[in-house]
Amino acid sequence: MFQLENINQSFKGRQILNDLSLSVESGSILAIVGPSGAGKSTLLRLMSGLDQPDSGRFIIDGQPFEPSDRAQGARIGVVFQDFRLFPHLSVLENVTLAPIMVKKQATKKAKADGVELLRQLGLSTQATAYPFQLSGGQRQRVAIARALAMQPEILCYDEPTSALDPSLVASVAQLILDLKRQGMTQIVVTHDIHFAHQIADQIFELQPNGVQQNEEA
Amino acid sequence: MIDYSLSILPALFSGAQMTLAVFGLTIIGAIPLGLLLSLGLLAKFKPLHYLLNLYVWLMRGTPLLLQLIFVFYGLPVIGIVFNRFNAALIAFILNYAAYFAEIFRGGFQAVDNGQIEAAEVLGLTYPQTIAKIIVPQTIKIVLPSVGNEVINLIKDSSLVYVIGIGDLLRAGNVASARDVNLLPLLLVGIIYLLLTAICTWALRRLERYYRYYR
Repeated sequence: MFQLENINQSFKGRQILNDLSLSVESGSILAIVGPSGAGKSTLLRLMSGLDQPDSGRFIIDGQPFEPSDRAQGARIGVVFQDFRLFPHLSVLENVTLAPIMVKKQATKKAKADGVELLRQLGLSTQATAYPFQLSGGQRQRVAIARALAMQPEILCYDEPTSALDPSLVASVAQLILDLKRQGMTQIVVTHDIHFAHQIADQIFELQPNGVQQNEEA
Repeated sequence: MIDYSLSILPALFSGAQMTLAVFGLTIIGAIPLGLLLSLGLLAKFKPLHYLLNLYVWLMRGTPLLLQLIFVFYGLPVIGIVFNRFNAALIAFILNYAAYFAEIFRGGFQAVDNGQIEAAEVLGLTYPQTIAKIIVPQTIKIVLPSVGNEVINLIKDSSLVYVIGIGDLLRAGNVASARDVNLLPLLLVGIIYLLLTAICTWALRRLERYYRYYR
């Protein structure tokens, strides 16, 4: 179980997250919804350790946990809204970079694992391509493969449907549900309530004034 | 005319050798130094930042010719003596490093901050991020500007005549004055054009190589 306890965050004197607490059961999907400016991105940046909260703590399976401490690799993977693939690296190199550099895996093993991940995500024929040669949906799957290669305990998505053709939304939903079947805990930040209901076990709604409410999906 | 040209070519070639030596050694010294300085320009440590900005301002704000004269004729006044060639190299490397530093600084800043965050959430350390993500992307960004400086340097190297180094232009000048003939200077111009043409071609190749990604 992943828990956030009493998270407070303000930005330029404005309280964005007000004593926020939430929890996600292992292997389940939490959707965080809310209008622009409600603090969805702020929350994601805190969970991924890119920013530090003013106060509050993170807990994984009962143990306090510091998201920005990534000495042994990140326990929380992130799929960014704009994917942020490394343009100068091939698809396979994007996936194997962190396992080789951070987890100190042998190049051979990292490559074999990377190829297998790409196969599972339907990207086998794109392994040697560069990000600019891919479609939006393919880029997103590379971003997911890159995050999964570090074997995170939790995978976070920032607005996974916003950069995609409407026709691709169903396949992203399917992919997220497939990963759930494999036991991955997932947190999806989205403004698309319909999409949230499609995938989530639990929906957490953020309001601009710092009020939150929780509902079972 | 052809006989005359052939008779002065050895002198011009030996001058061209000096030009290439100044050019090559300056590149080898100034690019790494510029890279180092650019990291300092981006550092959050303010005193270093101000110091390096002062350095860049001095180097870019005064003529290279003056810097050359200063290193060779000025520094001996306070007891620092270099031979002609070393004085030329020091002046050129210090001057060009300032330009390269500014080019690299701009290049680093042009790399999307999202790339750095993407590397960060994957667990890459900052030095790893610089080496694997930022520098490779910066090279592609700065290549056209670096190319400009490289071409400039070939011609700027002719400034070494002022401290009595026998480079290509000086060899042509000497022959031209001695024989009262403009042909040596014409040949000098052609050799400079050939050198810049080779550099331009090499830089284009490099730019084309980096087109493998966008």
